[in-house]
Amino acid sequence: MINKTNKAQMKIQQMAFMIIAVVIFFALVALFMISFKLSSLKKDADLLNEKNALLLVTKLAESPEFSCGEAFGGKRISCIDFDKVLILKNKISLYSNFWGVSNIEIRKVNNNTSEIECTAQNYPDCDYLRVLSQNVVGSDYSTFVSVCRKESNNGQVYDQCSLARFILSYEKNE
Amino acid sequence: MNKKNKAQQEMVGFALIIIIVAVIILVFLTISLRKTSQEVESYEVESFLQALSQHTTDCSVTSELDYLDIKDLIEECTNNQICMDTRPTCEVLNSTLKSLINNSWQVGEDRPNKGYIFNSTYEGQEVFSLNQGNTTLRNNKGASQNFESLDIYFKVYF
Repeated sequence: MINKTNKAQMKIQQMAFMIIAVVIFFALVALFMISFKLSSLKKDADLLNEKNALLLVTKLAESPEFSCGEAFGGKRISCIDFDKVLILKNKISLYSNFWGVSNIEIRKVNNNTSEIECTAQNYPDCDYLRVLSQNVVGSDYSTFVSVCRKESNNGQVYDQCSLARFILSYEKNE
Repeated sequence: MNKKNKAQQEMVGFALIIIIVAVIILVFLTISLRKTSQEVESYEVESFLQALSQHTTDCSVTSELDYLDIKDLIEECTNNQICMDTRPTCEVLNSTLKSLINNSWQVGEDRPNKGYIFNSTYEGQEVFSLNQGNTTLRNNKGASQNFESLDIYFKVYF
């Protein structure tokens, strides 16, 4: 009788250990899966944030205040009319809260080490144009654009487009 | 003997369960990893290609002020045309693209971007390609642009 009870107890113990081992095994697998999923979620969130920021930059670059429209022959994508933006800069106080951004800057892609800000006087021999500057520290986002202007040579007008970065910054809401 | 058989059966059953669970986990992992490695499209690279194709060069082949943009210059390079100032179009294309790409995507061992590949094909034939730095890395972002017969492709490794 005692022998049989002992045997049964041993069996129950074996079963209990087995169940505990299986539970621990599945818990470890679940933990691994959750951590894997969470890491990919964070990546997705970062990607989505980047996408949103870039969409905002693109939306702004394509807005009527900046875009080339059809002034340079046909509809151009990611094209900024530099002549238009220079005029806009003079009236920028009217737009200070219009786009919900703190700073807007257009920086030409060139190998110049100089940092000459564009004005009506030195234009187009300059490196960057700060369209809106509210001196607010925030996150910077940029996209590549084509900055176009009308040039003239001996009375003949032609289009001149250059590669540039359209940079904007805004206060990030966490 | 009977007891031994029963114990063996239990062991085989347990081993089978573990193998099945391991296979399920492996299948799940391979599907998840494949999904992440396919995500190489980049909005930044796409905008770069759009803007790059519109950049006006200092080469004209017809009249003095009819300067070609990068997109047209690639097409002229396919036909081995010469600029008005006697430079070959392919030479202008090479120097202009090198300068623009290197100033936009600075690559190097101590920089975030380790390398890049630029490739252009006209009617399926490769016209021009450029690469710099380490282009064997697994992490990369790229985009392509299609203009009727012309395709341009750019990939950055980081």
